[in-house]
Amino acid sequence: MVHLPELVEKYSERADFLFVYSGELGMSAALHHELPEALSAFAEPPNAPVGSQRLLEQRVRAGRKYFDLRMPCLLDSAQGVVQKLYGADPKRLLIVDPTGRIALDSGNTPSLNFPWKEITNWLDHYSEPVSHRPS
Amino acid sequence: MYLLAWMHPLVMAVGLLAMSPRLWCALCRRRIVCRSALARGRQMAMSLLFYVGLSTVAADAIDVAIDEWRQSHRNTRENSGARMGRMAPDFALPSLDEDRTVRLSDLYGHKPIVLIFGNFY
Repeated sequence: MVHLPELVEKYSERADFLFVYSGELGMSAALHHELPEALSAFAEPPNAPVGSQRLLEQRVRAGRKYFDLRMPCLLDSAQGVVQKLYGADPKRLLIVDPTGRIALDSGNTPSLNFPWKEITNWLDHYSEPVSHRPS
Repeated sequence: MYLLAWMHPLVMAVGLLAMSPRLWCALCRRRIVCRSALARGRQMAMSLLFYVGLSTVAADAIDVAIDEWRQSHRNTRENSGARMGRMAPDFALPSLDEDRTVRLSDLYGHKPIVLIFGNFY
């Protein structure tokens, strides 16, 4: 989470950022982990069904504010249709070039530990002439 | 290794017979009166066979488990359609901030799109 706000701030001129909120464990599972106070405020009861959408929007807003993610956020369905479409299990970062092709793929990762160097390298070189872009 | 893998049912059967304490004791008491060096050597050889067979079976099981995990992992990523160089699968999802649906393909043509999948819980 540490690198994402900086990435958005630095490259928001060069790229569009989209956060697809998906693959939530459900609070019953999440309560086993220590949650930041800001997120705990929106915690559902431990017996809430997994994937409950009841307070989803509030939770995502709280989480986005807590982690300072200044980018548009899209909500995946409870069944995680888009998550499955992309095989994001559970977290993944992709760069899609302006033609719609996937230019960089972080692969799946359990946390948001994406290959930041590779990502910034791609974005740094993108504005350069085509011949200098990393393949 | 492959030879052992093919042989391990036989090796295990013989080894198990040798290692089965009751069976071994029964054999010893009834047939082998004196535990000679030869008998002890035979028991050790049988034990060794058993453990070789057991380790082969365990290695096979681990191999199978790893292969299955790799296969399922590969299936998730490769069959998802989201692969380097391919067109990103299109989707439309509701936006958290605006009362509208955002379609990925509508954003093409201007800047690269950094697409992040994640959650906070």
